[in-house]
Amino acid sequence: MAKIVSMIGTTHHPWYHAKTSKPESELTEDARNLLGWSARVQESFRSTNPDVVVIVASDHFHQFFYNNMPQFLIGRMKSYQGTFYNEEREFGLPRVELGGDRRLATDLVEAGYENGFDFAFSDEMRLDHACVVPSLISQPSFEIPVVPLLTNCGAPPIPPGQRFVDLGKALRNAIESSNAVDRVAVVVSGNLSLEVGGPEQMMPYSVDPEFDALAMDWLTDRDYESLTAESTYERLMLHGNTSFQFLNMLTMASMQEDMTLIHAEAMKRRGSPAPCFIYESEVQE
Amino acid sequence: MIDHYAVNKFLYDTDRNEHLVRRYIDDPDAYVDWYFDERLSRLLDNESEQSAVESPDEATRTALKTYDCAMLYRDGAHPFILWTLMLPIIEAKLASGEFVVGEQPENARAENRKPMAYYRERILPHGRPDFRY
Ligand SMILES: [Fe+2]
Repeated sequence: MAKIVSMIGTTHHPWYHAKTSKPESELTEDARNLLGWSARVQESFRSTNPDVVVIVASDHFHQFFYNNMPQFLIGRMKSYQGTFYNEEREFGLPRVELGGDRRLATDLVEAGYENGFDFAFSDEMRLDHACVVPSLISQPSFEIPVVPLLTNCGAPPIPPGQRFVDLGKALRNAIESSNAVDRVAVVVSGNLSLEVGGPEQMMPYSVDPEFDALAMDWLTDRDYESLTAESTYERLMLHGNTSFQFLNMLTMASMQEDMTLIHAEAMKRRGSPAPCFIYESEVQE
Repeated sequence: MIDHYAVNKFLYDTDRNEHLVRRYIDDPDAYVDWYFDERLSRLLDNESEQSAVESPDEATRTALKTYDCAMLYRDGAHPFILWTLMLPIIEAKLASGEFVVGEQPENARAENRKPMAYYRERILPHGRPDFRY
């Protein structure tokens, strides 16, 4: 039976590569913070030694569109190519290749039926920056295969907060009932208040610092009542039109169970801070 | 009121294709007419079949032909794909001098500062429109 050995909550800041691949002397404070975060996550991966990484991340109109909109989709490919022309154009992201795990992915889809989730699945897809950037952060050499679980946090009607809480429980059960691998890391990618294409996008301050602080507390305290009450379309829109990707963090909160919280921080940036979480399990060697 | 599906399909389908983005920059009138007359009702994953999706009205075509991001935004085009496509358009038009950007927000972040300021100036009066419907 597979075991979740580490769980990371992280940003998928699309300019991660552009900012951090500069010469040392040209790194901004944001870039240094991002690199510091990456070093911490890589350290956690080294000590917990996962066989595969399940990435929970939002689609950004690359795999999903309104002609055919899944809410939760699992990738079953043996390998993945990453990023798209429009992301190279806008963010300077590098094209990448990652391994996949078709057996684990298939087990997760099957176990979903037993756990209240009828997952959509895909045998041909590319990964956008929501999977690529967390991979650059957690394993820049891309040696560990991944299973992407894409969520719809972009095209309303978006599932309510409770579904993301339930997803965490279902996904934990699904991983733990699989024999495909032994050690699994889960990387959940999301944000706090955020705006793209709206009035507060790319401003040098947070869209809603009050929400950011409260949300960090709700996540660390596993305050599901607040998390779900504050995660409706109307409520999240108050903190920016892209705050829906906060929903993924609810999945992280409900997956942690008895894992040990190693690190919880809202990383300061010009713009809204980025949620950074590391949980680890005690595993008998 | 714009037809949300038609506009969002236009934005999404154009933005992910380098050649279509180029055509939209170079000749917006011809491109928008071609898109709605020839391509809109074609299924995204089956070019030989069509759907019953209807071509939008003249006002919507005009908004897209004139890159009127304020109207598209106000009427509920999806803000993420609207911005993503408007960015290369605004960049190109600022570079050619067709667009002029006013004051840039103080301290705005470095990424895309000028196109962002151009876009923001226009959408700012409209707050955060509901883009659910
Ligand atoms: Fe995102």
